[in-house]
Amino acid sequence: MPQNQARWDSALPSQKILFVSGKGGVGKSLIAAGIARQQAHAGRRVLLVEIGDNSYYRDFFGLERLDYQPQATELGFDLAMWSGETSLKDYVLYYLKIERVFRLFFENKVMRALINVAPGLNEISILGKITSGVRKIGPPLPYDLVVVDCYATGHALALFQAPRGILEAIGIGPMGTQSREIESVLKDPKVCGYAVVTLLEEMPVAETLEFRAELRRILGVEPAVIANKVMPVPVERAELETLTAADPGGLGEFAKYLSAIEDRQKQYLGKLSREFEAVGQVPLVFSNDPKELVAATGEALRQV
Amino acid sequence: MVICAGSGGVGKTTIAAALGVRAAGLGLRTLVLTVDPAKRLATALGLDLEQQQAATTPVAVPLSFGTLSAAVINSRLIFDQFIREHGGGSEAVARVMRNRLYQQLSTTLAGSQEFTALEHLLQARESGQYDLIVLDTPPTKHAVDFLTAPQRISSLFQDAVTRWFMNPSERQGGLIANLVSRGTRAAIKSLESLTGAQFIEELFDFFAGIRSVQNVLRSRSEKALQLLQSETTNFLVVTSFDNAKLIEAKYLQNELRRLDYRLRAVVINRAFPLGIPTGVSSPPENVDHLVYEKVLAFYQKFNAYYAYRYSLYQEFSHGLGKDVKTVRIPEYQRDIYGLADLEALAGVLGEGGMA
Ligand SMILES: Nc1ncnc2c1ncn2[C@@H]1O[C@H](COP(=O)(O)OP(=O)(O)O)[C@@H](O)[C@H]1O
Ligand SMILES: Nc1ncnc2c1ncn2[C@@H]1O[C@H](COP(=O)(O)OP(=O)(O)O)[C@@H](O)[C@H]1O
Ligand SMILES: [Mg+2]
Ligand SMILES: [Mg+2]
Repeated sequence: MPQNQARWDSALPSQKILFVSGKGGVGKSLIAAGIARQQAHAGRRVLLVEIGDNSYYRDFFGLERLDYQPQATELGFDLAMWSGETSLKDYVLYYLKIERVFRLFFENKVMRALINVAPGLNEISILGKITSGVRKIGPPLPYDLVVVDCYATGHALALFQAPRGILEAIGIGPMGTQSREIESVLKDPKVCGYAVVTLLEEMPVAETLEFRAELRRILGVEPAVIANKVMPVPVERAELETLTAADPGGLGEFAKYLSAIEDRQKQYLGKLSREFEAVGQVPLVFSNDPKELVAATGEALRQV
Repeated sequence: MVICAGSGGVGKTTIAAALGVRAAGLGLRTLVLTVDPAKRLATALGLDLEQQQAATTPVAVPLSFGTLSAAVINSRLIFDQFIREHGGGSEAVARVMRNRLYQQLSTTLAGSQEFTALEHLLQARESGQYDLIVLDTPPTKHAVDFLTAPQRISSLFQDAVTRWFMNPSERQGGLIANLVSRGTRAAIKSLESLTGAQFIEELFDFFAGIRSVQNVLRSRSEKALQLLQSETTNFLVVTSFDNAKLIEAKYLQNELRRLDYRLRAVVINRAFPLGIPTGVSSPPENVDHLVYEKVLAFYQKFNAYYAYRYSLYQEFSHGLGKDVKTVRIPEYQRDIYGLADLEALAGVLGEGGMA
């Protein structure tokens, strides 16, 4: 595999928020956890956040519960799940202060409909929460880095688009001010990083390139790319080929399979290397144990 | 009707297309409604993605045997069409279209993609042109979102709620209407203090506009729900292969049961790689032993990994019950390209008793 000089994560040590996205199923959640673990090992206080209404990590790590309040994990980072509703509640409670008004707010039927339908309100609430530490607003978030296991590319772009969308619809008032602030945080490469995870296959790579183009357009930022599930072929190519010739019906068959995988990987890695300055790589890890997987992923992404 | 549900990237679109090919091969007049097909897959189906941006009419797929039509579900287009068609007076329609929040964010509007997919399905069904319709589902943040879309849409547009968003002249004192309970009034006031009056105005305007289509929206959602629950609608869950995803598939199964939908099959995609020898004999004479040992050790690790997964699968399929079929689809060494690939995949599905 060609090795680039630059590193995919050269900006990460100073950044405070990292969004991890990519096509569905490419390994976003695992890689986000791996990065969180690796950064925690490097001595930073790290919070890993999943967003939305349904938890993946709860089943993955076999936790009893996972909610809005960060909880410690054995892997060195804290973990939380933030939905649009809980983020909005947090914000409203912080501002309205009074619990009674707050209740009234969320238990009211009309209000709920409004909140559910209001375009962009969910998105802006989640982004508001994620950026709240940096903006020094709301309850304190005592972390050096927040790693966000973000939505797949399509919904992630809608998320990043939301502040602009709201700004263009309503520039003034508190919503406008919040949106403007959030957008400027998202656009600041010193504060926010974006990683897009891909497999070395046609569709994920195509989606990666589209995602980058859209990110440039929406926020003017550059994502880093991480190629995941790279087959860790144990021997040189020539050796594979010799083995294929020497043992056709047996292990040579497996060697042939590995060569074919390697060819495809090379093709797409080449494509990515032409497009990105650096391509992070994570091998396919032959384990079904979550902690082992996270550890191995983090290890692969460790800084030199 | 077959509905392919599952989380993003698991292969729903590919499986939906293959099922369509299979059904057409069995002589059924079949329509496949896809969402975001890969370019190659679209090409294989004869779909021009550019052209599908502007039209919702299906194209005929050039199969060697059988009649297959395919179309891409275009959410924005269908939603706009829907509002135009059912908006009654052009004033109300113009109002929704003009609404700045709608313009900015209509594609992310909660449930709008699910709604349009169902609407497209209903329309195709009502056309009476097909024996079988295979619906691929849009990428929701979570697979279960699609299942509950009709209920969510109907409840959002209940009259009790939207009645509230009358046209501004009926609202006195700016935002506060007489009809509204004091509680709601206070809640809206606090929302206003958080978001600003302009946001609330836009939101009201949006609701007031959408109110004109509310009844149709609701009745279509209810129709869609009936269709989803009908005897002739079968759900197929596509999933990838790991513990958390299998737990998720279980959860989906429970949800399906709760909602009174029929789960017929679980397709586990990319369950094992294709082209791996089942066993190896002793090394031949002329081979570099060090290399052989390295590759052999790797081969064993590789196999152990998939053997463990196979045991997970067995446990999983046992737990599913007898009325639900499970099929494992191998991981192909390359993307699913042309019709020939789809036909091969259709064959695997057929062998698994999927058709
Ligand atoms: N490098 C890897 N080695 C082995 N398994 C992996 C690797 N990356 C991801 N996986 C597995 O692949 C599946 C999909 O990964 P996941 O993180 O859930 O993807 P996403 O969040 O993008 O949907 C999970 O079972 C995960 O454990
Ligand atoms: N069994 C398989 N083996 C190899 N590639 C596959 C397989 N199933 C799907 N793919 C590829 O995975 C990608 C995503 O599949 P797709 O059907 O678009 O997923 P979804 O609709 O769930 O997002 C496509 O490039 C497709 O060709
Ligand atoms: Mg995930
Ligand atoms: Mg799809």
